[in-house]
Amino acid sequence: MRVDTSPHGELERLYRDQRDRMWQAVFAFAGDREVASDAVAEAFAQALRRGDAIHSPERWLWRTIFRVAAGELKRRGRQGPERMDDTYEMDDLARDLVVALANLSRRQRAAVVLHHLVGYPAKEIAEILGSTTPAVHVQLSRARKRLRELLETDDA
Amino acid sequence: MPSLDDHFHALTKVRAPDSWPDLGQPVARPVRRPPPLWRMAVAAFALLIAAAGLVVAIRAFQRPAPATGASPPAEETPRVPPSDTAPSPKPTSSPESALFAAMLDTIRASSPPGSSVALQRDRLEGDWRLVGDVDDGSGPGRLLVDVTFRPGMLVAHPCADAEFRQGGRCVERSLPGGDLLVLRDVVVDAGGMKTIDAVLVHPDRSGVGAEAGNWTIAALPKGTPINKSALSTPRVTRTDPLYTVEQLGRLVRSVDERTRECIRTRCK
Repeated sequence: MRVDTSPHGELERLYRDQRDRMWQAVFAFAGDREVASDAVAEAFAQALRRGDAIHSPERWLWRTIFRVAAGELKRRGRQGPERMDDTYEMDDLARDLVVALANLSRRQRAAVVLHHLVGYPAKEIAEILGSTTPAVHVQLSRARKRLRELLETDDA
Repeated sequence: MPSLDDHFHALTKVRAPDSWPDLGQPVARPVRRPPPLWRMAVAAFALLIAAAGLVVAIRAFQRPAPATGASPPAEETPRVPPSDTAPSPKPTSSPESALFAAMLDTIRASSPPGSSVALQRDRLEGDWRLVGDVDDGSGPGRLLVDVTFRPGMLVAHPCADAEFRQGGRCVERSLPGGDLLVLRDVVVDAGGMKTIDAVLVHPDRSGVGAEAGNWTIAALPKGTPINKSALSTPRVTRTDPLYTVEQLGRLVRSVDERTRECIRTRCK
């Protein structure tokens, strides 16, 4: 079976394999289903338009998704979720997490979501967010500390 | 009681929307007819008048350019002879710039004699941050100094945090007044990047942090880069960081002392 290595084929693979995880990550970041859906769709649409000008589609997409979502939140004049939609079907643990994430700064939120939900190491997060590895370490450390306080988890 | 990982695991069960279009099948859009020629001519004429009006308005508000740059992007000092003392803070126009000037002055005084200091100001998340390069003549090295007055922003015992320690030697020293000086010695990253950290933690977990490295990184690009190659990558520029971890610890204490005094006296 042939593997499609064209930019379009790579994007299609990413869309198929990572679309849901990307949506979940931006949903956690923004606390808003619409923002998450729009950000993911817009990022893929931009990637398609740019074609092979993008050398690393996966990181480019992650970066663009967070930028689009942050831009939309800014446009709406808010930092993160104002309230959670109670009608949206979701586990209490997930709901508590999204509410707690709203108490972090945007950078901390993006870093902790990319690390704990998507599994990226600090170095890759630094590339995605346009930061440095030590800065991401600090953001992750602060974010975890704050989340543990807010969620009263039993982590050490 | 659930752990943080349990919470994130629960998030992976949240369902994304099902009704997304397939990527390979773009949604058909209605075909637009080209506008008639007369409409295009009227539009072009209107644009011409608008442009002329804009030029007149810009000229009306134009003033002669100042002789020197109004606001340089970076705090830059020329290299001075080793015998020279650190210059006093520049006259400042606001408490914010006065505090940055106090930080910068202290950093200069705590750096090797004759070093040039090129640091950018940043009010990231409410902190007071100076970040950039310091060069003692043998190559620029990274320096980041971050002051936070907000309680609870620092971890109480950074050496117990694996992300902070990163496998490096880490010591915590108790200081008078309940302060804690934390020194994290060299951690070597990929490509020979060496980084050291020093943090002064007050009992209310506000404080000062500093990071020094044998590397530099260009300013981040504005806007969305179209590919990875547009992103800045760190570059090793020296054998070792410009400071030892002990020197960085002294720098952090000096910055803390000076900025607190600055806040007390409103930087007078």
